Amino acid sequence: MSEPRHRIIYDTDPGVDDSMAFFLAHTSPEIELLALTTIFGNGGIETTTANALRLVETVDRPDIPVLRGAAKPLLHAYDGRGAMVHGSDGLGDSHMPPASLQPANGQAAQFIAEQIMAAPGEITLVAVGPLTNLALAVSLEPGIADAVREVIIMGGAATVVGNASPVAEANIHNDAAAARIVFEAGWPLTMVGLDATQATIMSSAYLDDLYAIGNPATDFIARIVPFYHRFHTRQGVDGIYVHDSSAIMYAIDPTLYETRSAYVRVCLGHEGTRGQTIPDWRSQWRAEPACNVCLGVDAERLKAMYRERLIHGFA
Amino acid sequence: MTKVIIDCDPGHDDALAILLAGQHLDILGITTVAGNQTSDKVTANALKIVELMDRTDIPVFRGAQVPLLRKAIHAGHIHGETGLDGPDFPTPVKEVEDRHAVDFIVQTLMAEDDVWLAPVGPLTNVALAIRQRPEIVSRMAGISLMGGSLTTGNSTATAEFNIWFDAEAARIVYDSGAPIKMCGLNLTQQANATDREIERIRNQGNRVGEVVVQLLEFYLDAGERVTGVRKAALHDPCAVAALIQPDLLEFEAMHVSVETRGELTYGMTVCDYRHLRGFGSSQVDRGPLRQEANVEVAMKIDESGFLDLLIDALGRY
Repeated sequence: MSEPRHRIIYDTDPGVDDSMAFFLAHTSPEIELLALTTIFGNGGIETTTANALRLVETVDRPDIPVLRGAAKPLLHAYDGRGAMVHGSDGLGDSHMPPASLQPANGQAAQFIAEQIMAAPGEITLVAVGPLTNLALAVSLEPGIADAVREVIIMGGAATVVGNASPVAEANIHNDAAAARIVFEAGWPLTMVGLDATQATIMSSAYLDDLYAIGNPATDFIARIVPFYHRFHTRQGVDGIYVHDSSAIMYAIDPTLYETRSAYVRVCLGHEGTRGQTIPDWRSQWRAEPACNVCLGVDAERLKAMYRERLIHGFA
Repeated sequence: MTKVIIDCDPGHDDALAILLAGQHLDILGITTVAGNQTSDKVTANALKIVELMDRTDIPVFRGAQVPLLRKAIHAGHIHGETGLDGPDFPTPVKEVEDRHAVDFIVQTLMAEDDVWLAPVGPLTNVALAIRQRPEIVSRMAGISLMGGSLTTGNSTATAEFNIWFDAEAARIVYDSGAPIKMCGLNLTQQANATDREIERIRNQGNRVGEVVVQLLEFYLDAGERVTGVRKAALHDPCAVAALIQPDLLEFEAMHVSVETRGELTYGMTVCDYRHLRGFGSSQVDRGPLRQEANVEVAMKIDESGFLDLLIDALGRY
């Protein structure tokens, strides 16, 4: 493949599944990674920034800048519950040594706004954590809503129950006000939510085969996933849900997904509704803008692609 | 000289705040925020004002164009179509800087000690700066703002315009831990211009004063249409006066936060003065604070001293 289809700024809170998604992006010829911008979420901002640096160092890409992003949600407090799923270090309690790299100068949101304005129509944002950085960026520079090529987020739950509350998915729940801003911004937005990500399960056997590949990415994955896997086992899942990699997969090949377009309202938080994402399928609210909502996925093809990418990316 | 960044949405009273600051404070920059009028209009107005005062060395930076979550509802009924109706300003020659206002605020606070922020419009820029770079909260000298109220609102019964325009941003700023001096409506309605002040300014006979006279005549007329009283509260210069001559004001420390969900109270600054038992009566019994204080709320201003300070400053141009 000659030209990457997507030049991506990856906004991320690594995070076990964020790391798996990073390796997918790194090994996919359709994607050119321009930068990683970090966000609190699966861990605090110090943790997720340190982990983002570990990721670019692991694949020997110190040229990909890592910019530190927001430390707190816009309005409510950060609950820090990600450690339960991702370990106290955000990487499954693998306790890896710190990277020797440092974050780039500047703030993530400002960087996102400047990069998009400097290359209209060229840059895709893929955000797999709380949406604070994206909300700040579009508040700083509303023009990025027109200048961005596409915005793909992992977050939300359209037709299924939530994972952070009965109605809310964790990334949206972690900063509902930011999500409201992002869903109302009027940019070409795709929501890869629990409807698709929980329909994609990497089984224990699949993971064992992945660990056995034996390259720097799969070795890293083999160290961080078992903790995450045990969390899923306790939830009664055989294997792990494929959350963040699904957003990268959508960028690589949207035909993996069944989608439907609707205005999606993000609830800000009365009486337990914080972070609920309500699609208005029948346009009863007559509200805009529309969001492209992923509802179904070809999970088998996706998993085969993931494995194939991680093998050939290091061949 | 006290260093200050004036974050504003000019606006008639914003113009007076800048003119007052220009004589007594070291203005590092003026940052604009959508509020009284659109971002384009208030930014043009900021340029007009620095040209009027012959201080084109002061950089002007454009900031937030919309509130964080809500739709923008401007105040054209008070400030007119341009946001600065009244005088005929020449089209400004000076240009706005390339950098974003929020970036200027963040970088300035990180690089320089003892800088005050004087936000006299909606708090969108300050909120964006704090969420992007939380360290600025401990770097700054403090925030002297015009917004909110201990008592009545103006946009609604309970909400003052600057806070109501972007209550979520205000919530971020009030809850940030930054040291805040708040000149709310309860205070600024004690600092009024009338036809008498217009006459005093006119009699000083300078060109800047003549433009201010035209601004105040428009502002007084607009205010009178809304309130029925021919008095105009000089809101924004109060927050600047608090930095120049703090002894003109009396403050009371208390806890203040901002309502973002209320059905009747969106944008209200909820001031906890339970410790001032009998407040508003002749007998106030002062007890212990019920929540930790985060804001110095301005309670009283020496109106004649304030007007003397302002009119004197206008006469120096």
